[in-house]
Amino acid sequence: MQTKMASTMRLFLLRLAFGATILFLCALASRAGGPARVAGSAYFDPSVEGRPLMWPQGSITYYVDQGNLSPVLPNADANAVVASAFSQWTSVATAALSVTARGSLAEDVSGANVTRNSDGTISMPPDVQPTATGTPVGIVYDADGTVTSALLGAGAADRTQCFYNAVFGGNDSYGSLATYEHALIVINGQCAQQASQVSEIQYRLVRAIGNVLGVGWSQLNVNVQTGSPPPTTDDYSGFPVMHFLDLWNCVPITLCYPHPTQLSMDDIAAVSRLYPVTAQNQSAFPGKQLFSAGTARIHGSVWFTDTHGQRTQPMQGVNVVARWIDPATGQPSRRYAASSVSGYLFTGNQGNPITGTHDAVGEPLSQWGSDDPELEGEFDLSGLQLPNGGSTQYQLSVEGLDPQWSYGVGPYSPDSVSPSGSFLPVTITVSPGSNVQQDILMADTAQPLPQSPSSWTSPASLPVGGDWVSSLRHGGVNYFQLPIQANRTLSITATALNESGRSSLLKARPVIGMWAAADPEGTPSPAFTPSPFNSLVLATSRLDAQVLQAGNFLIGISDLRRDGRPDFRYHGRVLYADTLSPARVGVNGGTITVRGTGFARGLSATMGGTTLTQLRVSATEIMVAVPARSDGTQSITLTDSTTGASTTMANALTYGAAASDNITLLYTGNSQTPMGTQAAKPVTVRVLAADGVTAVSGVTVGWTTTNSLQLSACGGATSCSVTTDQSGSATTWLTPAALGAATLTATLAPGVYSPAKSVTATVNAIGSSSDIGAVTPYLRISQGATVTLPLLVRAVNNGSPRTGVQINYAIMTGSGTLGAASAATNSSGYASVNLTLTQITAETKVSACVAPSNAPCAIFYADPVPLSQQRLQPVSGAGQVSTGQAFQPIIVRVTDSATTPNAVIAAPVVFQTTVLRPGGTSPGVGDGETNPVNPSQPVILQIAQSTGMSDVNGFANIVPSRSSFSPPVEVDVWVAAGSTALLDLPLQVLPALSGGSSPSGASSEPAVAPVRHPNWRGVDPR
Amino acid sequence: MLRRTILCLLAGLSIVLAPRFLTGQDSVTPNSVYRSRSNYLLPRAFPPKPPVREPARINPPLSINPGNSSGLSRLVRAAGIIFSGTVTRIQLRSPANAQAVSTVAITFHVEDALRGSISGRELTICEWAGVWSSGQRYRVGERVFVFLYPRSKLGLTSSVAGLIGRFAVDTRGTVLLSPQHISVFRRHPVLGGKSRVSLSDFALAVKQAHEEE
Repeated sequence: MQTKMASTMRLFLLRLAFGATILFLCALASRAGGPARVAGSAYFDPSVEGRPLMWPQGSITYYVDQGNLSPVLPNADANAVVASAFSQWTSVATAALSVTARGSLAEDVSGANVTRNSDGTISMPPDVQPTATGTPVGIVYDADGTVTSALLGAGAADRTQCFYNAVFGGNDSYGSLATYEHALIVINGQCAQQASQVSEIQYRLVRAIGNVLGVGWSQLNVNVQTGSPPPTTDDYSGFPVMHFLDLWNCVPITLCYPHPTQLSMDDIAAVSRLYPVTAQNQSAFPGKQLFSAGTARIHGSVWFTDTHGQRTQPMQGVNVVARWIDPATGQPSRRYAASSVSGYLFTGNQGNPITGTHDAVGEPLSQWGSDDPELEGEFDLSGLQLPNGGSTQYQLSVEGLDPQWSYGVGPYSPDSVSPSGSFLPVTITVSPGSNVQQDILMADTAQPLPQSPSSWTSPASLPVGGDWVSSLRHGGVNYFQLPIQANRTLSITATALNESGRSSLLKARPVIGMWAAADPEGTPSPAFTPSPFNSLVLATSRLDAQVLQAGNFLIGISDLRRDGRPDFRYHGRVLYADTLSPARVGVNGGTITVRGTGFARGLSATMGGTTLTQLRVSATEIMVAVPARSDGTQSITLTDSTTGASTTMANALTYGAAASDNITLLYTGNSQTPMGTQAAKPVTVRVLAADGVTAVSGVTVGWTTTNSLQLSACGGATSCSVTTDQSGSATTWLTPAALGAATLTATLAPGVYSPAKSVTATVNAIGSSSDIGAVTPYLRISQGATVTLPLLVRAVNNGSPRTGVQINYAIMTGSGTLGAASAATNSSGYASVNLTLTQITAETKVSACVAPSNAPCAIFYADPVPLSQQRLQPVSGAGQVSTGQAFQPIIVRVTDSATTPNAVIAAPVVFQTTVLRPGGTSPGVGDGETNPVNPSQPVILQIAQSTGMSDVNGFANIVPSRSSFSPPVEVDVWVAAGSTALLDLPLQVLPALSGGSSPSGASSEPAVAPVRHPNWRGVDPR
Repeated sequence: MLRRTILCLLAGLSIVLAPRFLTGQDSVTPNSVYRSRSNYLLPRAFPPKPPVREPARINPPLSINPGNSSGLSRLVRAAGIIFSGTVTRIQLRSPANAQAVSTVAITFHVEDALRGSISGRELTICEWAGVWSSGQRYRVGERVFVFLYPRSKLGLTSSVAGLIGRFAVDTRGTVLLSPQHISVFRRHPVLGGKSRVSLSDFALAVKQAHEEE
């Protein structure tokens, strides 16, 4: 039984201690511009939500240290200083406060009993701990500074640190019924070594005690600190002791304030509101006056208004000031004045679903301040003194809280919010006991921006262009849905704006989060901005996220405090690159279009550190030219250098070959070929995409050979790399240089993918003292064409050229005319005679034989290809985009319809060039363009036609021209051959982009960016 | 009492769980591994923002005084630990018994150590919970340049001169001076009149102040 009881007691103590810790930390957040703290919805009893924390019945008992404070303040004198400081507050005639010095703590608190235990924990005497409700307020005289240094750090008690560390501490425990239960104040004796320092201690002690009583920081007559306008005597008199900051040079403090500990009317009113003397408690405070009877009260709410001046929603964080109208001057008094921050009882920060609803040490933010909307704009200016007694007038005005000097004031502390609109001061007549309700309807306040309703379950679509202006509503989060591809990064920015569309730190504090759309509501955000304004751009929050798996995602934007007001506007932007078109370019580069959201002029586009030339930019598209690269994938990144926002499409652009591509061999073989002569048929390889149909151009093909096989594609070398043309093909002629078999290997993108894909072809070489070979012996000629062709042969001796050898030419079959019957070989062994074919309709065969024996011989075959069998292949020049420079030629090849296509010679090719003005663009100039309007459909500006003929390799070409029409124009080149072959090769001419402007308008004071969706209109900054 | 205890336990539990949820871009240090609850969405490495200004909310009231010598020299003289770094973890250390004192442990990834710390290492300091409550709070991901008192015999420390001894550092490594800093350092040859100073210039000024000691 004993054991069980002991165990229970230990558990109780542990819980108590743990609870004390939490209670202590729960005191982290304070409220001001009224009471220091207000009970919220968490921790506190629901019955006290919205009630300021205070000492029960205004009765405070304090215990002082047993030791001396300093040589000039021995214990008794120190006690007197403490009592005097308390009396500054207890002497307020309308405050129901009683302070009792109950005696001494159980010890002299010093470095000797503030110790570190062997287990690393730290101990202090129990009667100064937060749990010591038996000694509700403990005053520690830290004579030698050892307590100060122990708690704040070595040297913190040094006399040089007195401006900061002379007095510290505060409330550290409170009850669930909105009561303070314990406070600790430490006075550093090292800061009271001289009599002249006592007043410094006294000043800081009065302020510390004010806060222990529950009086928050206040702003009134801030010109005392700013010096503008220069303060008068009345300014000093009305300046609250409970101002937030002291001037940097206030040493001694009387340099700045003639009477630093003298409570102002604002201080007196504030403490009296907390502890009013009432008819019910007056008897307990003899000599004190009824608070409400002897003073006047003006209260009400501050409101946003609509365009008709009607109230819409409460406005929190406005410093409402009441100043007595001095009848002698008719001017508002600087001395008799009081202030109250609107919404002083309302929550200033309830957290949000993005960053969470708890602070850094896990405390619920909702424990401070009520969530009752009735209190959101409420102010209370009770305790207005009546200097002349009887009826008098007060001027009621509003002001913003100074973000420099008063950032600890008000429910929004530490992040002030500037009021919206204005309020013309009003004069109110009051008399003792008056209780006047006067709501403040701010004029010309911000109006809520139209926005699509959104929620977690019904998110709005991302505004068109990914660039919009909206506002945040109280308690709400703006949710947007966006499908995102895998392996993308994106940046989401939200810039807080004021009513004028200017960036502002004094309005919303946006935070951004992302979730998968399928996540249940309430899921902690996998990617979020832990705090607002985390970018270098003024008032801008930025979330950078990386998406690994494609899907629909939610983007949430909220105020950090989950507050929402019409003036909580923001400029949202989602910089996201979604797709590329085309997703593949040849190794020689090309032009691609990136599609996504949030694009604008001034973004930089890079690929592997190389800046890409931008050709066209819109909110959803950026066209860039990409340079030559080897086969493989590249990542494209768009960056806003001003905001740091960026989006990357990882490995989204394929150069040349893809891993899934295949290489095929188009080769019907060669008969035995004499060394030193070109084999009769070329080797062609073709690269096709995985679908087996789509030809892949610009792919690297590596040619390698054995047995000294020379390749025309390599300039006679035995190996090289080439790229496929726009039909996906690469071709080479073979010239064996050694006897026997030689192998040619064509490898797809050598060294890029593993295993490598390749095809092989072989050729056998023979040799004798007299050999001859025909160069391109198989000639395919457009049927009906008249053409003259050189018939080139080479005579060799075991591969070496034979010079001066006569070659006899003869037509074996068919019709044709030879330019000569024979020709002698040159020093390279070559000889040539022209063959003229007239309106070829049937095969013509020509022999070329070595004289004098007419052996050996080579045979040429000239065959007609009907128009119906002619095909067209693009070779190069398709898809060009120009910003003014001349186009490169478009080259096509005419082939026959064989499985292994052969070039067709002398085929007529028709080129039709159409110059168009794209739909939706402004009319330009040039060549009589008379279109006066801006049509939605393209306008044909010019059509030109020309005819060419394919050469010996089947090639035909044209150099396209936009004529003199100004960009933007499209130049559509249609190519026709045979009876059915047709190619459509559109080209573009774009206007050159001038110097980029900032994509986000992100100067230090950016104006609202254009809004591209009718439902998301912004404010015209003009 | 029971309700209060439960609330306290829940609050404590939330402290344990919080780091799991609070994984955002700012919490990523250069060498850390992304922590995420998601296998589809990751926060990107993103240099932390300049910290939110955290004022004192209760005692002691803030005061600013450069004294006779330059404010920076005074900071340097009083500080035992000087570095720039990023907050990586915050942990409440609850008392084990009724006499024990609550502390808050703050861990930094030290980027540039000038005194009492080592560049590239983690550094954990402990604040008395009362200091934390008085406004010397941090948040995970926050990047700061701090002047801390030497650790006391209890192992506790705090920033010198309250918030004067603490500077926000932005994503580009620029030290941001608050209006209070500007007031204190307005006569300093390097810092005077500036609201932003490069980290290198700031560190140089600190070293010079150190040499002037």
